[in-house]
Order: sequence, then structure tokens, then C-alpha cells
Amino acid sequence: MIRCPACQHENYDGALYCSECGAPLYVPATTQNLTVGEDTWLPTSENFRSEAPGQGARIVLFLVESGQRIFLESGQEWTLGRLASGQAVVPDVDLTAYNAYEQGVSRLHAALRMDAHGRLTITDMGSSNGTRVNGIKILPNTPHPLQHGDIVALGKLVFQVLIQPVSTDEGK
Amino acid sequence: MQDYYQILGVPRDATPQQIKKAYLALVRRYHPDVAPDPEAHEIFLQVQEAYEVLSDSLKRAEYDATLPPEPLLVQIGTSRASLLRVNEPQLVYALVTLRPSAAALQQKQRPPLNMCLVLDRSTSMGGARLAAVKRAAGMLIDELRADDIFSVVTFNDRAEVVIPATRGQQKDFLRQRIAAIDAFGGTEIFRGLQAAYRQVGRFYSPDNLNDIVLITDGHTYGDEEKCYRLAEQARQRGIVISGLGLGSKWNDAFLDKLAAITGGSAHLVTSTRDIEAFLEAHFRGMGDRFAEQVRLDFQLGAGVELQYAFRLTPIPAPLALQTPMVWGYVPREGKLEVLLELLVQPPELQADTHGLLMGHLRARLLNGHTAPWERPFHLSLPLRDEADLTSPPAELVEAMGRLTLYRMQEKARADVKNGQIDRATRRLERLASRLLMAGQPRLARTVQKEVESLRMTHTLSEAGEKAIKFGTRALIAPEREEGL
Repeated sequence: MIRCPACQHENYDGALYCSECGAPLYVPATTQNLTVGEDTWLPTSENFRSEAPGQGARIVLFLVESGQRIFLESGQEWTLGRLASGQAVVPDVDLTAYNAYEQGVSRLHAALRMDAHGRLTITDMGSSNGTRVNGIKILPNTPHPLQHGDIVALGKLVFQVLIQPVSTDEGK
Repeated sequence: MQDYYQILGVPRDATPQQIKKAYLALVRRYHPDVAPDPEAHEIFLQVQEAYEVLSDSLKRAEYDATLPPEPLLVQIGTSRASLLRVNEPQLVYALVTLRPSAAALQQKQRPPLNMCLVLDRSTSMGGARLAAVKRAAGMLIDELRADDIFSVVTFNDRAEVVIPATRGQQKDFLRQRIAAIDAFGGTEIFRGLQAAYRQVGRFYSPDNLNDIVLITDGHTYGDEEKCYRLAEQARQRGIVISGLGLGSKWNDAFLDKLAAITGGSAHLVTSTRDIEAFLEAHFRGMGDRFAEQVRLDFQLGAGVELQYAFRLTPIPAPLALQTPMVWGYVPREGKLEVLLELLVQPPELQADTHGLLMGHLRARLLNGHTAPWERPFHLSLPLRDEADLTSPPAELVEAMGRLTLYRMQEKARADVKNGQIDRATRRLERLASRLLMAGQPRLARTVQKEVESLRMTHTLSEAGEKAIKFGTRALIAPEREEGL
């Protein structure tokens, strides 16, 4: 039996999608540069700050479809895309394991950047299928500000941006 | 004259193991020690000859080069490469694709049509609907070839043959007959279908494209079973029934089932303008066929249940879970694609492989001349102790994703029927959010409206449930996206 991560329904072994809620159950093996959380549903917003994240924050991409989380551990800039053979420029976050190809994610699709003031932006890198923030298509090659809870779609791959304070930052 | 593959009963792409297995089975049956009669001996010699060539990879390659090209290419992808040796049921999905091989595509001329339009002329069809149907029929008449056979039947409480089946009618005469149809009375579909079946039967030939198109806007009462039996008769003769439902007051489950028996499909039309577009597409589809009456004769392996069968392309439609299962036609350009869902009860744990489905795919090729075609169709998986780590084919996962939305809608409707309103509501809410994610905001809104309706009235609206069903069905065969 396979338990659906979204609705807890027990599906027969071999099921590709949950027969109850339609969530995908088949998840290809993950790549090593990402940690994958085992969340079952959208986290509640009170655990997160809604203002500018600041230096002590970490970014979590919550994949709406599969309920998985991608933690962007360190750095100021992350390119999102998918790895294909013979590719010169490699994305920092390879989304291949999340059906990126089927969902229309380009090889180098978008970049997330945290500036010196702790503001997070996303820039579409001229992708084939575009990037949407809260349903609205953003201009390519132009940084677009992101806030905690924003819904981002790369092609059809949808994730929610969660800006999580790290523990030292708590209580401020 | 059978080729070596046919003698052994294996497909052309059979593995050496399959060939050996088929050979041994035949030897056991036809060996002179067990079957002394001369006929069996003749077969035994053929089997020996075939195996001698096909078991040797060099000789096999040489032999293959002498064979005429396979007209139809068949591809079978399964969601897993093996079954688990565990004591619990497991699901297996199979995606079957048929497409014409490039070498086989030659002639473009389609065989003559033998087509009957069955038109509902009940009172509710009056006005714009009937006018649009008449216009569409007129368009069809313009397109007919001189060797096509065409007939029109109308029905309300009884049936009337407006245009008897004949070849090469005066088109002016046909148009006049169509113009004289008026709306009156109730809806008894069986009477109309029966009259249409007789009309198609008058000029019936397996070399025609025998086709019935039913256009209705109402429910039929009490004669559904008779209609299914008639459809079964039609299937045996290769007559395809398709249905077009106008508005919201017709029985889509009935029309789907009726069409599925014969390999046809049912469609929803909400605007009268679309009637003409439907008939035109249907007519064009007739000229675009490479093979028709594709069907699967099958037997299921021990403990295997065929849970679901759906045609993804060329026209998405549920298939009848019976043998033979009629799949429809293979288009000249494009493919016929069918998805099967098999539930395997705990397999015999000691065995090495588990047979899932055994049978034959059959079709009629329309490549210049009509010819029967057949190919063995075997589906079995090895048993393993460890979980299977190979990824399922991407097309299969993607197709299942689209089909899943359609099935959520089906399940919600079943929930409503069983009085489980809360469950149905929850399901539709999830469907709405999945549709939003899939970039279908309009359809998601329609679903959302039905959620409201469920909360207020504990029922779905007839228009809404049809819009959701045919809306999610239309997503199953989307136009291919250009290169990502």
C-alpha cells in the first residue's frame, strides 16, 4: 500500500496518482544537492515571517503538487532549471526529479536572488513557457519581488515560496 | 501463407525467450508422439522450420529483411517492470500505442461510407436546435462522394426513414427531404437506432465504413437495455455508433456506454453552432483512417482484474470492459492510444512471471484495399523480491495525470449517486484546485460552482456535470505543446 502524502488515502502498490485526491504518488529518485522534506500539507503561515526575510532566513520551495519541500541552504542566488545531457550551464537547483520536463520547465528557467537588504526577487531567464507569480506572468530578465507565501509557476511546475527564519533569529 | 512469426504465434518484436516458450508449447501439442495424425505432423514440421530460423539471431535478421513491412506498429509500455513478491494487490498500467508504419502509408482514398444520421425530432429539438442540425446535415450532403451510401432517420415516439439508404442520390432531393423535418413528440432512442441499423444493413458490406451518428437532446426511458443489445449486434458487424448530445437534458452515461460498445464516442454540444463543426470533424475523421475496428480479444491472467480502459487519442472516450474490447480507429496521421489499468491480486509467490493479459489485437487495414490484421498481445511481468526502481515511461505518467482529473469527476458523480455528498464535495474541491494548477481556470470555476450547488441542494446541475465531464475529457488529448 502507498499512503498519499496529501490526503493520507491508502492506494494500491503501483498507483501513480492518488485515487482519492489526484496527487501524484510516483516521485522519481531525488538528486543529492537537495534535501526533501516530508510535509503533508501547506504549512501554516504563523511559523513564518511575512516581512523581508533578512540575512538569517532560509528559503523553502514548497511544491504544491507533490507536497515536497526544497530547502535552499546557503548562498544568495539560485538558478532554477533542469539538467539535460550536454548542457553547458548547470542550474543550482535541478528540478528534473519533480517532473520538470513534463511541466515545461526550461533548462535555465529562473533565478532567485537575495539582495544585501534581505529582499528576495525572482528573474525569469527567458524561459520557453514563462514564469508566473501569483498567477501573473512576469517580464523576462526583470527581477520581480517575492514575499513569503507567493505562488510561483515555472511553466506548469507550481511551488510556494516560504521564507523561514533560522532559529537564531527567533524571538527578535 | 503464414510467416514464421504467425506460425509460432509471436509478435515480430518477440524476445528470444518468448520465441522459445511459444516453440516449446507448440512442440508439446504437435509432436508426432502426442499427435500422430498427418495434419498435426505438417504443423509440427512448419513449427520446426520457423524455430530454426527465428532462434538464430543471424538467420532471423536475414529473414526479417524479406518480410513485407508491418503495416501497424504496436508499442506497449507498462508502469512497472516487475511485480513485487508480496501478499497484497498491486496495480499495473499499460499504455498501448498503434500507429501506421511509414512504409505502409500509401493510398489516401477512403472506402465508401455507409452512414446513417439518426436525428431526434422531439418537441424540445424545435427551433434553433433542429435548424442547426438540418444545416449540418446539408453540409454533410455537400461532401458526399458518388459512391457513398447515406440515409437519415428521425425519431420521436416512433421512427421515420426520411432518406432511405441509397447510393448516389440526387443531392437536391436529399436537401428537400431534410428541410421537411419538423419537431414533435417525445424521445424514444431505440426506435431511431433500430431504423438506422436497418438502413445501414441494407447496403452493409464489411468493405464500407459503416457508421451511425445519433443526435439527441433528451433522455430515453426504459429502452436502454434494448439499445445496448442493438449496439452489440452493430459491433459484431463492425458498425460504429457515435452520439452527439445537445444541451444538458440528455443521458451522457447512456450515450457513452452505447458508443463504447462499438468503439465510437459520445460528445457534448452546448452551442448549436458546434453541431456543424462536430459533423464536419466526424466526416473528416472517416477519410483519415488507416485502420478501423481495432479490437482486443483477451483473457485475463489468474487474479487479474481489468479495472479501467480508456482511449486517449484520437478521440478520448471510455472503453467497454468486455472482450472483444473495441478500441476504434488508427488515424493516418497520429496514433491510437489506449490506457489499461490492471489490478493484480497477490500473485503465486513461487512463480517467476505472472501473466496479466493474453489475447490478440485485430483490426481492418484501409490501406488502399481493406485487409484483416492481427497480432498476438501478451502482457506479463516477472516477479521480484525487491521493489522495482525503473521509472515508468514519461508518456504514461503524463497520460495518467490527465486521466486522473477525469476520473475524479467520475468518482464525485458516483459519490453523489450513492448519497455521499460530503465526499463528493471534497473531491470536487480537490479537482478544482488541480484544474487551477493545470492552468484551467474556467473549468475550475465550473467545478467550484458545482461545489456550491452540492452544498445548497445536494445535487449537481445537469449542465454542470456534463460540462465538467467533457471538459476534463477534452484535456486528455491536448494539442502537443511545442518544444520546451
